[in-house]
Amino acid sequence: MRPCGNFDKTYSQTLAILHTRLQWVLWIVFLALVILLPFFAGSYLTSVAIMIAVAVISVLGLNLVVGYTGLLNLGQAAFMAVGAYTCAFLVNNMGWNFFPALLAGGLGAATVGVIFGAPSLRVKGFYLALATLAAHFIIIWFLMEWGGGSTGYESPRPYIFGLTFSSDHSYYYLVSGIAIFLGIAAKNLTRSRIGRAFIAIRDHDIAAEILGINVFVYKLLAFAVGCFYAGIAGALLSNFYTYTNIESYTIADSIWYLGMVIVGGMGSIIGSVFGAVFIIGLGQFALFVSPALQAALPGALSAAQQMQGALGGFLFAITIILFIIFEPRGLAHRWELLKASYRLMPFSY
Amino acid sequence: MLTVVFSGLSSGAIYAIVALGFVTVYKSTKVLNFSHGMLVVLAAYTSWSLISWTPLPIWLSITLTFAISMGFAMGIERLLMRPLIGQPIFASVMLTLALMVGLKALTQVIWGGFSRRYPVPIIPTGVWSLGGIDLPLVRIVILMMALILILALAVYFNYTRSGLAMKVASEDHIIAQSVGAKISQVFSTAWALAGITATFGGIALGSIMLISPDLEIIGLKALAVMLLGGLESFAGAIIAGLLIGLAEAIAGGYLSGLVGGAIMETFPFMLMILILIIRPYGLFGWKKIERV
Repeated sequence: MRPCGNFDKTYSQTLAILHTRLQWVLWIVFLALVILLPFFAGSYLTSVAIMIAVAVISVLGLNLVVGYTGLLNLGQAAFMAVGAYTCAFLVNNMGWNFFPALLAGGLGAATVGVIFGAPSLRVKGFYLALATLAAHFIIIWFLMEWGGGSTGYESPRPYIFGLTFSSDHSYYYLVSGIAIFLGIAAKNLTRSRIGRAFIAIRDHDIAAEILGINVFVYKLLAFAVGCFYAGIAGALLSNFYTYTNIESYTIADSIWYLGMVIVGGMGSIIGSVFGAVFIIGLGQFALFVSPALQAALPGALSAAQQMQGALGGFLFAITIILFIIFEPRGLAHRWELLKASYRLMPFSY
Repeated sequence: MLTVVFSGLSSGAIYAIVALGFVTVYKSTKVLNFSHGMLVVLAAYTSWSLISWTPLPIWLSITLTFAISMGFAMGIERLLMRPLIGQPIFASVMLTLALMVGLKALTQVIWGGFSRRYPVPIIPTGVWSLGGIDLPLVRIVILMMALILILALAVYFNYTRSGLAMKVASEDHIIAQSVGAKISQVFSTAWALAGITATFGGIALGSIMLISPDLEIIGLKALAVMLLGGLESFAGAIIAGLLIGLAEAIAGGYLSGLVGGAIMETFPFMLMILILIIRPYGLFGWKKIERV
């Protein structure tokens, strides 16, 4: 929603993403925060920020598929694993540099996504959810059998032109830079012909077909783009952990990414950021609280990690359920409401 | 060979029982309840703790398990699913997925994530020799249980008043209301039935393997069964359950030498993709024609 009196006088104004001065101020403040974060945050918060940036990339891709095109995808974590394994394989066994391997990982994930998105020609809704669920198990099995087994691959931090990203600090800048770039790319994609086709397919696929949109091609394109994002995110995640292993890409992770889409807001680019921050924050809260809870409830769970996982899962489930029932449009919708009330502030209708 | 076939058939019977829970809820409310696998595990744990923590006789513990899990499922319906009537399917998919995560966490908190075994067998153990092959009695009983459950559900859905109300409610809520079916009642009955089938599944599961929170994978495999049988068909669930159990056992027996043992766990999902590509409405499901 634009404020009163803000009109477009030139074509470049129509094409702009940011229309008002306040939006520019907020954008610059956000960029400054991203750049300055490692200076005032400790090493722990920096690593959390890396995880958030990786999740943002993955959720952006998932939001393009689920939120914009309306295709249910329960296999996002597996597509991330494809990207991670492709990248790790090329770096370890072929001697590639990380950056071309990262791109290849994204493209590899996109290819696999197109293959498993193919049933979307005939099926939709639940059936597509089941197809992607099956895709998850098949991909993980395949990677387990032919991708270095349960040990996986070493994934050292990347370097290029004498620049190494070995510390968390420098790796943070790499990941957040890629996240911001891909975020702007996604925003622009959704404003283009392709994005409008995605939205038309989501709203009514038969009507979209009558409008002259090739539904199958655009559905596959949505899967390709979404899985490309997933592949990039997966490769970045496993290089953050410095090893590639299927432990980081389980069906539960897919559900968590879907939860981020729900919490952030389906069909919203900024919502993807909100959702990733909120849910990762929730997981960190569980990590923070679980030792105290364990002391309070002796004998409940022996292993601390198990307690953390259980508490995280429990909080996650409650959050998602509350959001679906009370705010299905997510935090992005709350953000819109906030902006509207700010504009109308002294004289609300 | 016959042993492989028989073990496949009996794990297929478990899949069929679990898939029945999916079919029951889907047929009447058009909700694909991803958390049903966790309901099964929860029922298994509940019966385990009633038997081993309380001095109640076994028959009473089992009856109580049925009551508890029925009440729990109805509670889920009343509190969580009812606000979603009229919402897009993504909401119900995501809610049941979140429920699956939450229930798994709950079982881990209450039962500590350890595997458990019934202190006394509920279903008589023993071996029944038939022409030189030893057939464990437990598995025969489970197979019979699945058949009886399916028969009972089929009779309920086709010949009783409330069963027919459920069928019409799945077709169209407004039509159902105009012929006098109460939608809210249909929904809670469907979930109560899901709770009952989950208890059957839990007891069957606990009788042939260790109870652990990781058994939710069986719930996901049962989705393949449901898909092959057709989303609306009870008879499809048992036939597809046996077929998939058999296919899995044969894959485990004959393919694992070629591509590693994990193929057994993945095979049902491969079949799932194949079914979706070739025949998405399954063997006995209703083929829907979309009209605008």
